[in-house]
Amino acid sequence: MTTSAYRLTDPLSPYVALRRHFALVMQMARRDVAGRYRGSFAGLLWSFFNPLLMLVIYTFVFGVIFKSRWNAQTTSHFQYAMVLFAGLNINTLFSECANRATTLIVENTNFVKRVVFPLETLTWSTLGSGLFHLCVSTVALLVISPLVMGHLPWTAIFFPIVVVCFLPFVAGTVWLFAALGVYLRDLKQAVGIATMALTFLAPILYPATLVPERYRFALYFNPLTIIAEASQDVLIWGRVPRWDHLAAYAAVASLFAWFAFAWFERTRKGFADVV
Amino acid sequence: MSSEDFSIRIKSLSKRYEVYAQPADRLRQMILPRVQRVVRRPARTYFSEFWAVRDISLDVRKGETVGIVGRNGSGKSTLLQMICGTLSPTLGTVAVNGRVAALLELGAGFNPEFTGRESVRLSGLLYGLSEQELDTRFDAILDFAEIGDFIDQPIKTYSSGMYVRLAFAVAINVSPDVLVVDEALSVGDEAFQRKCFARIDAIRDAGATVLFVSHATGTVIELCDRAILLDEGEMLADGTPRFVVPRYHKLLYSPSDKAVAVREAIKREAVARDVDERSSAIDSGDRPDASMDGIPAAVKDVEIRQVEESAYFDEAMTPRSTVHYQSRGALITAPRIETRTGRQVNVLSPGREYIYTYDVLFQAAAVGVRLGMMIKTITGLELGGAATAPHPRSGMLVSAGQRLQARFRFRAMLAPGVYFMNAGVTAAGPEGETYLDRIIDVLMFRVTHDADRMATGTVDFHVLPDLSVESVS
Repeated sequence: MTTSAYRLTDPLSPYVALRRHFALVMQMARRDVAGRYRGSFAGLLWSFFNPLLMLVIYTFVFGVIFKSRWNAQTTSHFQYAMVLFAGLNINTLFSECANRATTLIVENTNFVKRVVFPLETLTWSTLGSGLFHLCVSTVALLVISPLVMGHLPWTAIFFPIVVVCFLPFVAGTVWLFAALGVYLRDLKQAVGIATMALTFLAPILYPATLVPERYRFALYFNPLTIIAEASQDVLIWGRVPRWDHLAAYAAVASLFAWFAFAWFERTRKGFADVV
Repeated sequence: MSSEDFSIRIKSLSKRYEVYAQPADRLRQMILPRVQRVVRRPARTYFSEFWAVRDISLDVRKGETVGIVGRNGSGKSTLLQMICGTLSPTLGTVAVNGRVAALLELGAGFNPEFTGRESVRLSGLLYGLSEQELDTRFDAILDFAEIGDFIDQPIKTYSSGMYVRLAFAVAINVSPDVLVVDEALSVGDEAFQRKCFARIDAIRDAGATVLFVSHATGTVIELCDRAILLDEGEMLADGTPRFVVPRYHKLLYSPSDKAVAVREAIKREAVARDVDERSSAIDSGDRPDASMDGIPAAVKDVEIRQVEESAYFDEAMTPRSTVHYQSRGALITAPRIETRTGRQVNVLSPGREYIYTYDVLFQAAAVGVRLGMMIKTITGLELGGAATAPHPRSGMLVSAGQRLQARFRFRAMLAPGVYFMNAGVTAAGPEGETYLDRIIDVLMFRVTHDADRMATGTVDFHVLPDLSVESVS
């Protein structure tokens, strides 16, 4: 007995969920963003200062102390920090969503048991709040960029496309972990370690070219690699992203999102039994 | 019943809870039995089962107000949750016509971290209102909830009363077709409860259906047209509140070794009663005039011009709603109303004094014994009563084989109409005060008409009206 409000055979069903409950998703996402800084004096400004402060620290630690350079041609203290920042923003979106996913349902017991709530939309609102923070960080990066690098790459206009290609993957991860996390409470710990591993095993802290040739292909099994590189391309290097990579990525990610959404919808009837 | 006429249609509904020792077993249950079947191994189950609702069928018409009563764990909440759609049934179907607004328990759908304002928006969206509709109704919701500036505070800072006010305000302002109220209102203060009941009435008058769960059976009698008694997931009785509520009480207060017999008796009774359902004038409660039916036509027109003793006994006046609880060592016998001269009567003259009396035979010794009585209206409203001692501490010590006679002198300060009496004996027990014997609606009496009566309402408070005339130039 499967009772889903969606035609799960439709690969677009994850997005039908978003459209159908858009007002609700926005309300939840807005609440999530506002809730994080509720009661603090500076409020939303923190979400802007936070990335700025991080940028300053990266510059000092990696640029000045470690004297890290992304490539040998430059002498700028800032360059490494900026590249790092571009990659980390992408990573943060993913790891925050993935980690929150594991407890997404368990923390909203009310929505499972007390009201008829479209639980599947919790994924979209989690994503919405993550996207908000990505936007703020990116704006911070774009504001700083001309100051420290001397120019703002025009290719930054492609950044939204890069993010859109990334979203199905993040959404799929959230659905997968949210449903699994209800039944397997150990998942939270495992995902914490796994997301950290993915951070270090992606070309975010180092360029892919630094990895020995025979291991380099392995980086591309990391779902963050293509997106992190594309972000660095459009935001820092002023290069047009590798469209072929992005297209392939988006296709696989959409399949994954579809599968994860169907998985979520099929397992949700058991939620009320165990939360 | 035409298809537009029904509001809730439940067909052989059952809910099995699968009790899992650990969450991972739930996942195993979803996957492994299929795998086992594929490899031709017997499928294992990874849970122990518990049937919370068994084979309930129920049709509720539009505009009906249905009270659901039952002991704790009888399946009331499970049934409501399935009607609301938060639980999926194991067997059977539920069809609901229109929008359901629910106040399920305390904590209905609000996240404690959300502010009142956010919760209102969120629940509104969940009920399917658009943003514009929400904006237009927001003030009405705020106004009804009466929580003032707390609307911008997180829900976790609310008192239980504020919480329920807000939840209720939302639920009734989304114009529901079905309103489900589960216990929630018992936390509000009386002024708010009155306001809620008035609103529930308005919603019902507008054609909505109301499902109402409460342990306050007086409220069920006052508010509902129909009541349902659930026990251990089964529907034991379905009828007018005045029929169902006493049976619920009987079940509630029956000693555990007799409970099974009491249940079976109620079930049999309910089946037998289906035949003469609603033909019983006294049972129906909502037709007080019909209570005259039992009285011979000749005496109907008797008029008492002075308040003079003209009481008499009418044999036809016996309540059909009498419920005798399971006796626990004492037996109430010979309940009757007498004049001060000892003549048995049941048609009383207004304003005169009478004595309500009954005997209690004790089969076992008891301490802290109190005998009590209660006068009720035909709708079950408890007008007034008394006990022979204010507290079990000051109750009597009675030994086995003794007989007590209780005599309650009272004045029939009542409007013309039919009234009912309860009788009860309580004693101090290991778990506090318990009923040794209790009879609901043990007898009925009628207060005759008084043409010169100036008092209005049910109870005559001896109000002395006075008019003075003054010329204003």
